[in-house]
Order: sequence, then C-alpha cells, then structure tokens
Amino acid sequence: MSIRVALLGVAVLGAPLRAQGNFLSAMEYSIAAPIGESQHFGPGSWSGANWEGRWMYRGRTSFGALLGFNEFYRRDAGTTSFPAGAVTGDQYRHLLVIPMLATAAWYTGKYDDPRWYVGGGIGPQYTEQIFQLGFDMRRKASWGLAVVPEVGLAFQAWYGTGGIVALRYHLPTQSSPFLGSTRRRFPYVSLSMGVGYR
Amino acid sequence: MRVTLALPVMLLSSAVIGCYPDQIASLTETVSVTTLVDSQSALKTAHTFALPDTIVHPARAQGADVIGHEHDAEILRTIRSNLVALGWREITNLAAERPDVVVLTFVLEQTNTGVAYTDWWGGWSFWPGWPVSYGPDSFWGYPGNATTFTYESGTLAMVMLDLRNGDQSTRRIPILWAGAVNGVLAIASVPDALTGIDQAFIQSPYLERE
Repeated sequence: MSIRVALLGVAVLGAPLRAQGNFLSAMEYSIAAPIGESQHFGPGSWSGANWEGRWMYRGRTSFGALLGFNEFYRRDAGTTSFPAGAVTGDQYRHLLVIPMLATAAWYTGKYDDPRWYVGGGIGPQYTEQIFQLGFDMRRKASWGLAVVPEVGLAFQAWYGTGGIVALRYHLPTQSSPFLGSTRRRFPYVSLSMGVGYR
Repeated sequence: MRVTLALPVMLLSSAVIGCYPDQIASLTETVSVTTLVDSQSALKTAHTFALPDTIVHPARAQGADVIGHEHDAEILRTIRSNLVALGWREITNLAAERPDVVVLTFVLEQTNTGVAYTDWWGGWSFWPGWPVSYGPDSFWGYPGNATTFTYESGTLAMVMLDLRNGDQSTRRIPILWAGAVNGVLAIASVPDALTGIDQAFIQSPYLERE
C-alpha cells in the first residue's frame, strides 16, 4: 500500500469522528528537517503524517495523543572509506520514526481565533534504520522515548472543522547500536499542517 | 468512537510498513565492491606476491555461464597487472624465492559471512608455495580491526594471505587484504567483474609500494 493511498484513507475515515465542541481530531501532513546524526539519512523529509486528538480542558488547556511517522532516506553512489576498508556501490539509507505521544498544550487566548499555543508530547518512539549496499541489506529496529516540545496555531474553519499548524522539535533517546556498533540519536524538526473535526 | 479512532491508527500504521521509497530495487544497482585491510606492519613490509593460476569456483557457479573457468586467465591478468602497477613484484619461481604474500581468487555462489571460506585448502592445496606448516586445518584470520561483512551470492573475491606470519600453534593464516566484487555472478558480465577488480585496487591506496 502506498503512503499516499493510506493517507487518503486516513483522512476519509478520520473525518466521521464525532464532532464535539471540546475535542479536535486532526490528520496532519508532516515535513521534517534532520538534525545531527539524522542528517546521514538525507537532507529532509517530505514523507510524514500524524493523527492527533486533543481534548480541551478549561478553555486554555488541552490534553491529547499523537501517532505519526516521518521517514528520511537517501541514495548515494561512490566510495565510502572505513578504518579497515572501503565499499563502492549504490548505498541506500532509510530512517523511519514513529512517535506515540501523550500531548498537552496551553493556548494564549480562550476564545481567540486563531489561537497560538505552546505544548509538547512525550512517549515511546519506534525507530527503524536500514542500510543497503548491493544485495546486503541491514536493518535495526528499536524502541526509545521521545520528548517533543512544540509551538503552533490552532484555528477554526467552517462547519465545525478546525486545523492545526505545529512546529515540533523531536528529541529521542539513543537508538540501539547499529553500523559501527554505535548508539545514535536521531533528532529532527517537523512542520505539520492538519485539518479535522472539532 | 473507539472504532473510528482505531481506523486512522491502523491505516497510518499500514502506511509505513513495507514502503522504502527510492530503495535499491534493480539488479544492476546491486553490484558493489568491498575491500578490507589489515594495514599493520606486515602489509607495509610485503613487496612480493604469488598468484596461483586457478580460480576456485563452486560447482553450481560454474554452470551459471557468467564467470566460468574460461575467464580465469583474464581475471588473473587483471589482478596481476594491478599489483604490478602498484609496485609489487611477482614471484613465479617458487623454488628460488618465497613470496611475502599469496593472492587467492575465488567465486562464491552462496552467502558467506566474513572473509572465511570453508574447504579453502582443497582449492589450492596443489600450490607449491605454501610453507610447510600450512595445511587444511589452517584457517584465515580476519584483518585487524575489520568488521564482519557478508559475501553475498555471486561474489568474486580476492584474499591476500601473509605467508611469513602464519601462527603454527593456532593454525591461523593472517589475511592482509581482501577484495570482493559482489553480485557479478548473478547479473554482471566479465567486463563488469574486471572493472570491479580495478575498483578494488583503486580504493586500496595502501597497497602501493614505494
């Protein structure tokens, strides 16, 4: 199943979520820029999506959950040297992160529209690294913890719909040892834009 | 609501399973060249080599009709010319002079982890240049600091064994250098294999002798 088809399905099936005044369910498209060692997996990511639910609490605060993914990948050709050798050929690197976060946010205004907010999430994160050279594909999956502070904008739209624009900084714990037997951390910044029912 | 919440979650999960955009997919993209080296003093002080005139092929690989024995001379000529161009001197009269290293060439059909190659002695036991203590119970050691890698099916491999420093008590014969052209048996032509051999030496500048 392609990501595009799956996202379309999510958007369609996410829409009938029961509209509640104090609840927002949104499907977000997410782009991302790698930081630090994440940059080994490419200059940026155009492949990402989140589902996010927010329950408003006393007007200025919300609590919720977020499930999403971002993926980074790059193809290289050429020679890579190591302390004890070198390899030449097409190389493929792929990094997939799936955060599952409990979120909270504080809004600047109670009735303003749009409303700025600051918030964040914390929760487990699945990380998968893939390195392929020729026939040789190596894969490492691990679970860790991610802390994701964010700033953003929540707005109302028409007929009970609303939206979210969020800038998030993803700071995970280190992943399990992979190439070179080194534990690595893969932080990144994501920009997500989504719409959903309120 | 529980069901409608679960559906997006399930679809989101399925979206990220089995999708690797821009992945290496075509067979022609899978050819690669890997080299390993033990660049300690043993390699630095080696200047002479011997090159047995046979490439060992596994039985089934010979039937693949891509790299058969008919190309042995061409492949060995390429290896020899690269070594000579790097300043190595070939020893052909083994009775008169013992070389510092021997370069063995073989084709692997099946996946092999690391640089070890089982039953290796059978392929080259005829070669007269072996020191007396070397035999079928000897094994190749990994190059120093080398990480294990996998020879995939269809690999043309070269190993440079140190003839001066075999350990008689452990039966270990040090590998000073190894080069592998991966994927040539399955998909590539002989010219591709020769280009891969050249590349193995290009990416091994430490083999150059003064």
